[in-house]
Amino acid sequence: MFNGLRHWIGAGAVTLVLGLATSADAQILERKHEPYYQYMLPISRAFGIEMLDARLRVAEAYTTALNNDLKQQLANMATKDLGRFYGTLQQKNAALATELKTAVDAVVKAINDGQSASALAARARPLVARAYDAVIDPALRSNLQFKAAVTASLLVAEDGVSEGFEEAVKFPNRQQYPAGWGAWERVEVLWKELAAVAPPALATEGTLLMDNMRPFYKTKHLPPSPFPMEDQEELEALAHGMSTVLENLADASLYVGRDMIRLAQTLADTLAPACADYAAGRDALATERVYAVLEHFVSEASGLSGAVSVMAPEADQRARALFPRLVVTRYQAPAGAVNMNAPAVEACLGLMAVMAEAKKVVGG
Amino acid sequence: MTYGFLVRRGFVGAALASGLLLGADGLAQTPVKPGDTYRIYVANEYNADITVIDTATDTVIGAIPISGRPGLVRPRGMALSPDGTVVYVSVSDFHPEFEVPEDKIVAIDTRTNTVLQEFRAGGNPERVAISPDGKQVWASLEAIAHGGGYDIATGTQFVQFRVGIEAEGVAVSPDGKWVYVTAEATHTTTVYDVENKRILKHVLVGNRPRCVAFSLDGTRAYVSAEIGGTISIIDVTRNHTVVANVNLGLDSRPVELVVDPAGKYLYVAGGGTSAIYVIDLATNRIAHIIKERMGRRPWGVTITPDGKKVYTANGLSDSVSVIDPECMCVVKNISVGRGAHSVQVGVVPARG
Repeated sequence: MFNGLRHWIGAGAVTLVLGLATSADAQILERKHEPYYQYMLPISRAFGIEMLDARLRVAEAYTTALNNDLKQQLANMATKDLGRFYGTLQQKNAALATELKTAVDAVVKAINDGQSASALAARARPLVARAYDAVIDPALRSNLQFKAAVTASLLVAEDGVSEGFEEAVKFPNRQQYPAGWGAWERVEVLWKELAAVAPPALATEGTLLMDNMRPFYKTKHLPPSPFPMEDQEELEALAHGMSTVLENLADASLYVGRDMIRLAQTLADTLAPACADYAAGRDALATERVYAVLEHFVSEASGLSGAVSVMAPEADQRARALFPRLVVTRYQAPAGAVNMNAPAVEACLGLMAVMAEAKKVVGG
Repeated sequence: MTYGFLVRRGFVGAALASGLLLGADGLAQTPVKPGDTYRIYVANEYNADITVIDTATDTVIGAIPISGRPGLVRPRGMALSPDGTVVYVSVSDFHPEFEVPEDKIVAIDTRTNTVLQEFRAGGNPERVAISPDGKQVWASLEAIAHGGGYDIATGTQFVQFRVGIEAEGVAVSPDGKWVYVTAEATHTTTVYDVENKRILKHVLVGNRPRCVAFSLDGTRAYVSAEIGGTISIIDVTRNHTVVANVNLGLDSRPVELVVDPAGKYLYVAGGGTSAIYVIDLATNRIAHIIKERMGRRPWGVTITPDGKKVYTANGLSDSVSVIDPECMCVVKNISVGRGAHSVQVGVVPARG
């Protein structure tokens, strides 16, 4: 496996971008589009919809009672997945929002009760498809840069293909594997759509990268321990290689942390209306924004938290304590660090202060 | 670029006057001595061995096993003793979360190509650097977000200090005062004050920094940023502040970097584009991009002490590319082991 995949990572970028010449400046590659900056909230909503569908796929695939770890993993569909877009769905189609929430809650309940949720999950998935149509403008959904960014999120964001596998192998936190598998299934679908419009060399490179990632997720069920392929760094490298293919295909930068000052400002700008929403009782809308901010704050490859954790560790610790007050995250607030009964707006304003401090420490 | 060319330009004199020459991750290189010969050492991440190449013929002359568990134990970054006769290799496994006996630094004698010594280095050492006096090894300990200093004479750790998350590159300044450690996940370079035994500061650099190298005079440090596609230039004399960034392009994915013995060029391995970027240090602009015939995904790069040849470790094609700096072109590709990660030039001193 190693030889095959190593021969292809990055090869397309080489041939398409740099050619063979040796003079320099004219060949420096910049990107025209920045979808995460242009569409940060819609991409986060789409990612939530994708992950909800992914977890429903997992629930559908398991027809027997699930262990507690997997139950906990799948329960995220009712919180962190739905939470990314539920406020907007309520605005766009309140009836569908209620119907979807009821369906998802039923799946989670069945799982928690030790029953098969397979049939319930199968019935919920068409609702997810309808929610996608309601929440994301069709023109935006078919936008190349938008689709590339959503695919990139599925590849490298928390619970996605790379992170899901890494968590499962590394810690080990085995129940993360099925989430990664569900994300992988969606990446397969999205890549087929993207490959259809890709230049031949990029399509070939991306398809070969996909071929090399597939063995990591060859089963939808938890593989035996130890996993047949334990090298999570290899999958991570492949996923980032695929992100490079997507960047080339969409002529888009898909790593927001290349400009930390701008990222800090953008996260603050995205968060500010959430605090107003919390104050006005529009919690579902506020939550969508917090999830979007959280994703780019904690992103392992390109997030703000990494730098802040070193440059201003107290600020990072405050963020890690405040986020769990507002949304479901793998962060856990230290006992007593945050009053979990305090109004959400206070936590939101606390996060705003962190973002302001973060901007300063990264040079803004 | 031949030796004669260097002499004419006065480069060799300047290089020799500086004493030690600093290469990838601050690796000390020896001054050129007549009759010395060079060997290339390539850390093969998936083969768990080190390929040895004779630079006179550019052919493989052997392999040094590092572990009997290829694919499970991996050699990665390397560094040279100041006289070039000992190659230090950071060794770990693929499970950074666990402490294993293979977390260590292995010292190889270039004259015999045998293992001289092993140091315990827990925490998944990824790269190493040697102090200018040759008495200390410094390592980036990836899994525990620390830098570590080890006494070569005793093989014991004498200091461990906190750096950013996913520690990666490490270099020692030519005067031995500073140890720089990069961290991939925090986008930082930590400056450790050796004399006062304290962390001086953390410097924000480009996105996902990998390796660091000092200029020959030690006034500048160059940090590659893999996702940023940049080289951050740190002014050591101005409180270790980033004073410029060289943009290599977003898909360049730069990793290892080495200053040539003349101090004129910085060679940067561009893993994303399978290219070597050559930066003119007088202007901080890209002077050349070497791409034709390059192996795939170069991560490692080094240069012989006489400046006559540049070697790259190409992880996707399991090969080493040989570059002639005179034409700035690849003149040969050599097959090595699986997952060529890093490359160094060892010195075999002339007899007598």
